[in-house]
Amino acid sequence: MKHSFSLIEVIIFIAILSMFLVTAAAIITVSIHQNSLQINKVRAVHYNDQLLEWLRSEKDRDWNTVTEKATSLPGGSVYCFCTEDVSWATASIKADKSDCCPTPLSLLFKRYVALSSSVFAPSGFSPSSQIEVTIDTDWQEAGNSYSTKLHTIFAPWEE
Amino acid sequence: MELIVAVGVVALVLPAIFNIFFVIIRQQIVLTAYQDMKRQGDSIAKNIKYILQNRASQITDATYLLEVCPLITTPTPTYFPRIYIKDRDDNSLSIYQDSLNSDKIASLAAMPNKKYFLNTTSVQVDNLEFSCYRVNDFIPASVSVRYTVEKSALFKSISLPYSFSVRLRNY
Repeated sequence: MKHSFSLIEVIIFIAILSMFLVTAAAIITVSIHQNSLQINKVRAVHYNDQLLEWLRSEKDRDWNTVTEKATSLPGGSVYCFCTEDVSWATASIKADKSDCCPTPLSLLFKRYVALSSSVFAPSGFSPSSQIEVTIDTDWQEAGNSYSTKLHTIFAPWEE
Repeated sequence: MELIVAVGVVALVLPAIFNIFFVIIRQQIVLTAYQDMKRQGDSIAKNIKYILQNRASQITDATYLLEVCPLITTPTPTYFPRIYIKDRDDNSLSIYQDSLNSDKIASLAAMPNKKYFLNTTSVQVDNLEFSCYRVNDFIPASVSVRYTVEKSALFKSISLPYSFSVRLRNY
């Protein structure tokens, strides 16, 4: 008599195979998502660094222009830099950062910098102006929002 | 019948597994490429900044005699591919894209004639350019540097552009 699989054997086989496939699919989904996230993090950090370097050079070149930009709007200004070419000409000022980059940088990232001017007055020293700089690069991925942030303070070399 | 079902299941599952495996490997290669480009690009920037900020006193022409940074109040940079530097101890060195290894940035000391590479061959550096200017006689020169770090990852070239400015400190 020819032996064949019983129904219970087939059910057990399908159950084990399904568990294996479901677990593998979950692990693979997480792995692909994490890889993609890491790639975009590296790119976002690079975009932040690029903007910070450019702002530093602008600060060294012309402190007054950067101060003017920081005081354009009451309570600080948000400038959106939505192209790889960084310059004041390509930047747009917005009251709210959520309005930044209708066409995202590299079709994914929204990059903006918040500038606010203040006066630093330590006791015993003459007061000096400074600019608080917060650079953000945001992006959306798989329904989640991600952001990399840089925060620093600029002070003039010469006044 | 059972054999056909078994072969059918394997024929469906195996390609799917291989496909997913290759997607993950491809992503890993792209991720590694980005990390390598970022690491080496940052390292190049750090080295050039260190040389310019902490050692350079003058940006000169190829003879190391004439200072070349123009005196302008609104910089309209003219970029050049090689920079010649006199350092604070009167040593001469230059930074350029090496013609023998066109994908590497070289830092060449004139005396003794010693060449150092600022990146490895795992990434390519392109469009290395420098410009410099001085706002007035009493403020040291500012040097702008830009370059692109590139790498090929699975038939696709990816790149990270770099640009930064440094003001000399030893003027």
